[in-house]
Amino acid sequence: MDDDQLSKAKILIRQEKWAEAEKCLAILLSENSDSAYLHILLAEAKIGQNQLKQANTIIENAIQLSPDEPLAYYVKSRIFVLQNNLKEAEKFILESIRLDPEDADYFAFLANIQNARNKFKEAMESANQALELNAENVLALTIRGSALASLGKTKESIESIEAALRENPNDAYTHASYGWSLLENREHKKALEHFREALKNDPNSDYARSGMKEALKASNMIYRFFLGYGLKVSKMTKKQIGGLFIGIFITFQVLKNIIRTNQDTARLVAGCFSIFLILFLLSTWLATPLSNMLLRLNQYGSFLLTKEEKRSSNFVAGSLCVFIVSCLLCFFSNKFASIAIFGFVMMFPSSVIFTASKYRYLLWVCAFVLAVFGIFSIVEIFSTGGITMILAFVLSFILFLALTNFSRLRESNR
Amino acid sequence: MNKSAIDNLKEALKYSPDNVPLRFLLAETLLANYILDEAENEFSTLLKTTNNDNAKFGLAKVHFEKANYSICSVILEDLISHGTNEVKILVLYAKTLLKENTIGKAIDVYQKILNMDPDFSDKELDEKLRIKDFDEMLEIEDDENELSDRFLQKSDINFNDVGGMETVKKEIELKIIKPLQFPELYKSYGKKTGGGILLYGPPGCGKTFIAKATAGEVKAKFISVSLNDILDMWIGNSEKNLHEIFELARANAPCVLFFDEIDALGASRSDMKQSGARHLINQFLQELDGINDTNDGILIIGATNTPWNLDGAFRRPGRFDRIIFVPPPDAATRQSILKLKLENKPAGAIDVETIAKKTDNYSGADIDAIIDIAIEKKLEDSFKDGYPKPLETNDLTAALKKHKPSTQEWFATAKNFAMFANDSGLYDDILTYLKIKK
Ligand SMILES: Nc1ncnc2c1ncn2[C@@H]1O[C@H](COP(=O)(O)OP(=O)(O)OP(=O)(O)O)[C@@H](O)[C@H]1O
Ligand SMILES: [Mg+2]
Repeated sequence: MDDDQLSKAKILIRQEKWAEAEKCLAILLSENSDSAYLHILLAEAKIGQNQLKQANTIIENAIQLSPDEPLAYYVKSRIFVLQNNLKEAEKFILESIRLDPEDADYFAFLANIQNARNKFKEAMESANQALELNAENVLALTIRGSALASLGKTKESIESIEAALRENPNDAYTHASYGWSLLENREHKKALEHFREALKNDPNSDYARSGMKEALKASNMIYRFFLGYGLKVSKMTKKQIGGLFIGIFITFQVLKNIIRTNQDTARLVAGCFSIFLILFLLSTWLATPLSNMLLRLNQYGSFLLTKEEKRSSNFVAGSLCVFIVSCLLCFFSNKFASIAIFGFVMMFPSSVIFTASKYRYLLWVCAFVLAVFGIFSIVEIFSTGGITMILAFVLSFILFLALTNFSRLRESNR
Repeated sequence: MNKSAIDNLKEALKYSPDNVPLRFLLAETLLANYILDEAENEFSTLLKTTNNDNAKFGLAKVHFEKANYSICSVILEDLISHGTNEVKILVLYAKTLLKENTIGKAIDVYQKILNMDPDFSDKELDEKLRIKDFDEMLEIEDDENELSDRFLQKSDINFNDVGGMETVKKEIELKIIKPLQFPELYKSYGKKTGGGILLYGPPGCGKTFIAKATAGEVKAKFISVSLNDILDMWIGNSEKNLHEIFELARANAPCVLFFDEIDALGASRSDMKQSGARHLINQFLQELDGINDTNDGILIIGATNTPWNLDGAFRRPGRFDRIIFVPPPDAATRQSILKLKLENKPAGAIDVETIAKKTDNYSGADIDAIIDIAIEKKLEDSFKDGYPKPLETNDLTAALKKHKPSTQEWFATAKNFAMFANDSGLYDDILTYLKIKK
């Protein structure tokens, strides 16, 4: 093999000049088409250009050419992570580790995946294994810190993060990960600093950008409350979420029974409480788009939002306006209540259809059906005064909520 | 002679400033005492009023001592071309050539000296020029030629070939061309003329092109170092390579020394901390600073698509302290690029204005590509129809659909750097271009 050409390709990859690296590798591959290593490097160049499908095909080739090459499985695992398929990613990095149990990087990467899948204890163990092999592995120290924070061991977590920052004070991933732990701990100001530091070193990091967004919004107290709740839920296992659902269901049953009794004060308290609970559960949907609306007032903040997020906040805001205006119009004629309901309901699909990734088209179809039902029910009320359509409308709304919840759970990747 | 003697001479000159022999004596004395700057001043003053060969030779000696070999050789060549063939002048010339590494020429001069004075002997010249056996000499010549062949170009384009880009041209005019043409003027205003300029911007928008045109504009030679050359430095004997290229530039001053994709001299940001990844940069900076040799008369231009991967040390004052953003061409620029590119193509009456309007965000290279696509299509058709037809406006419009602008992706990344990693206002030009207020 042409060693000079190979060295050049490797330098280009290190310098993240992906397109040039690819050209260089193509020349090499034309003469050494059965080199697994060259395939791996080429896959790397494809990943750098965000061409994941092609990278995947190439790495499959590499694995076929040399099935006992741990590096190939590692790259494959990284592709899965980028495709948001953590379960498969974990499988492949385990294969790398099986083939080469001496590489700290593989263990650190495994820890990273486990941590993202909310398997904090396992993540910590993998990180420790990585650190046994190389005590200075920055990723392992970072993930260890993050996992410890999620396990509630704040002090140890900070120690681990600080060790990581000692190794590399500019590591964007460490700063961002620390920022997220701080957000969980409700220290949004300090989190902001670390996100800022992360972005300074890697302005293209989505992880840091979304953290920055949350940290900025968290300066609003009400949002801070929702964020805390959201982060807690996002860290729950499937079982815990199931538990939460059952808990909410039982609470409502109890409240219903209290309301059915004759004791007035108890009824009042239970009534208020259930309204509050319903409002809270519904508002968890709207917290993000509504707070994004506020974020848009600030140039810097507005820059952080993606196009989809902006669109979503526009639609939610529009629906909200319809809701408020028609509520006011109810003073003239209570027929306007139907439009108010329409506005209120439409806030929910608006908040998810733009930002969901899985089942996106299904959600679009449902939202469309919902809107059509809504318009028919308004027409019906204004023309005949009938309410059959509006019942169908509300029913389909509840169905829609259930469906979205389901898709959200599937999306959460655990 | 000592300091008081110099003071006495200066005092005497105050009373008779036009006394040529006296000033000459002072200049020689200063030179003998290695007070080079003052000596240079005195010789220059003398040359303003007289056209004295001795004063010229004195000035040459000063520059030799200051290691300004290129200037020294220019003065000496001037003297020699006027028929002055004194041995001492030829000796200094030979030594200068030796310093400039133009061995072949030095040997010629040395031979001339020996012809004039067969008993001549000078330790340095004898050692370096006489003992060399013939083969070795040839080899050195070859090396040198190979280097010049590879890097030295004559620029056949100038600013007239660059469509639009008026602001960039103006900046280059002000920041490099003028300082090269009027170094004294800049010095007298206390402006430094050394260092380099860095061009950055999205791919295909004319960075390389305008660097080359700059060389043509000042009628200087153009030494172009490409990405591949830099990669060679990484894997080969880099120190020698870089040094040789700078030496080549010094020997050919005035010239434009252009480093394309200069960020490749460094590793990526994440690799920077590794010690091995820095040696090429350090070596480059040493040459740039001109620690061992002066870079007078060399315009150093660097270009990069990823200025954020460039080591911060590049941007210190005196280095690449002038940074110019080369944006995608605006409509007017696109129009002139189109006109330029279509000039020698078989084109009918093409509505350049319309095409220019439709090519927002297209780079110069994209426009090249569009014309290429259109012409290929025409060729195909001409085989079908049996006779060639000229390019028309709608051929280009059709080609537009097949080639999308390539600059957007760059801006997506650049925008983030401008927003989040713009501490010293380095990327303000990007923000201005994107109309983002800070
Ligand atoms: N202003 C211009 N006038 C005429 N031609 C231009 C102009 N700008 C760009 N071009 C054309 O576009 C081609 C590409 O430009 P050039 O190679 O200089 O871009 P670059 O900025 O160096 O790109 P890269 O970053 O990819 O190296 C040139 O060969 C030239 O033909
Ligand atoms: Mg270029």
